[in-house]
Amino acid sequence: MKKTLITLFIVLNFMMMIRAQIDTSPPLLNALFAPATYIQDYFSVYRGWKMFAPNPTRTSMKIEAEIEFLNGEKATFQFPSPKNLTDKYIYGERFRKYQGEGVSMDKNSHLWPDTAKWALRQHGKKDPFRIPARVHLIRKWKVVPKLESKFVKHMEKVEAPIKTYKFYTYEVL
Amino acid sequence: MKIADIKSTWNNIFFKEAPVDGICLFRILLGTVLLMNFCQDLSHFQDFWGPLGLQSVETFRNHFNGFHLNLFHLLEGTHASLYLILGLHFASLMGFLFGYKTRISSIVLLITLTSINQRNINMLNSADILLRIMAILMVFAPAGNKFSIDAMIAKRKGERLKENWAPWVHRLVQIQIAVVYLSTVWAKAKGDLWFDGTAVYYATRLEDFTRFSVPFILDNLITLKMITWSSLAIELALGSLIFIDELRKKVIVIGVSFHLGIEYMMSIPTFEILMIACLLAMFKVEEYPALLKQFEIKWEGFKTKLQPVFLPQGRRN
Repeated sequence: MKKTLITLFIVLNFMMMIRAQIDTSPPLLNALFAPATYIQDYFSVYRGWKMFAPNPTRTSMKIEAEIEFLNGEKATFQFPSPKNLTDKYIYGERFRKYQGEGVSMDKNSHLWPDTAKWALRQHGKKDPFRIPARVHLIRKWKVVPKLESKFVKHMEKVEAPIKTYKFYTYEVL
Repeated sequence: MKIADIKSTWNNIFFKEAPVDGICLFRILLGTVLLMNFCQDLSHFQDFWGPLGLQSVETFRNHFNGFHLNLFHLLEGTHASLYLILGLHFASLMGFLFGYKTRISSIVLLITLTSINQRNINMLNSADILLRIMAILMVFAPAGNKFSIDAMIAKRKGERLKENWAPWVHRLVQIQIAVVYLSTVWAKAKGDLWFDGTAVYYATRLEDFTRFSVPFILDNLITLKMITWSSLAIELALGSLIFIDELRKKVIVIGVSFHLGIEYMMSIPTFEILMIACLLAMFKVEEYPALLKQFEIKWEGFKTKLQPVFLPQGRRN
């Protein structure tokens, strides 16, 4: 009995490993892999390993919050950006991921109000007296030029135009 | 081939008893990586998981609806709850690392780790997913039977924990690690930059990922192409050739060097260290006692060699 249960568990694990490699989801496949999908959902363990794949991205994405105050003044809030290699290692990746692959995506619009409020609170710690009216979230990104047009040296600042797009406004009042 | 043959091979692979040394060593390595990861996150824990964090408790609950054994679902979204969950996580992590009440520690660790990770899933990376998968598997492993407080307590009581066990968890860990490499090669095979040899060029030009400069390698198009292609070859070997006994150790050494190289050149926290820890779980399960003995002898020799250097002049022989 114990051996059978373990064998089932092993097979379930294999199913989870295989399911993540199949991009399509026809109904038959969904039904076949339903038990594996349930566990993957439950523990959030989607086993696709696609770092720098199929191609590494050429885009660096950041988020900025622009705060408009009742008196018409404006301030810009920058999300935490590591100043040195240690900080980059300790917390830089979490914020990079959240900005570049989390809140900046349209599919994650449910994160926008919370993120705007968080930015407002962080800014308010240094600037508590002006009354905010609204917060805009802005995407800022630049693209590494194609190799054929320019060879960028390693660690050299990428000279490329920074593009911006205001994607959400939170009305405070 | 007969069904009985398949059954026998399956039993041999997953159920024929083998030493627990490997999985117990892996517990320590995995626990260390988990601890490092946790300490890193503590720098901004309120922003990541707090009631006034980047993602509110309400948004998290709406997004993760349905039944989840997630402590953030069960408890109030307050600071006190957060401290309780973090305290539980730290305690279970310590229990897991040092092998104290290992099974219970593993279960609590899995619950707290999943709770913390799901609290803000949009800042997680591949390392978090792999850590969680390994945490699930370790719940079923006899991970506290050696190199642990549990083993010490049992010894003091005149008992001895089982040193041989059906190695199915260790085998699953190894298969999962191989799948990580094969899967990444499969995913990269769908892109064109890995084949034309420029993928490493673009990956190393992203400012968020840069770490230390290696101009003689990373500013030369020929070496960049060689690195791109050899990365694919190494990853393919780590997912396949690693299971061939004659090649296993060499492939592991190459794999560890490969990850150390990435760790030096790029800022991808936790993942490279985790993969190195995982590669150390890829030796033959039966080989671990001998390997550890060999390591112990070498370590003793190394210490003896070091002694004259560090001892004060008067105490040197």
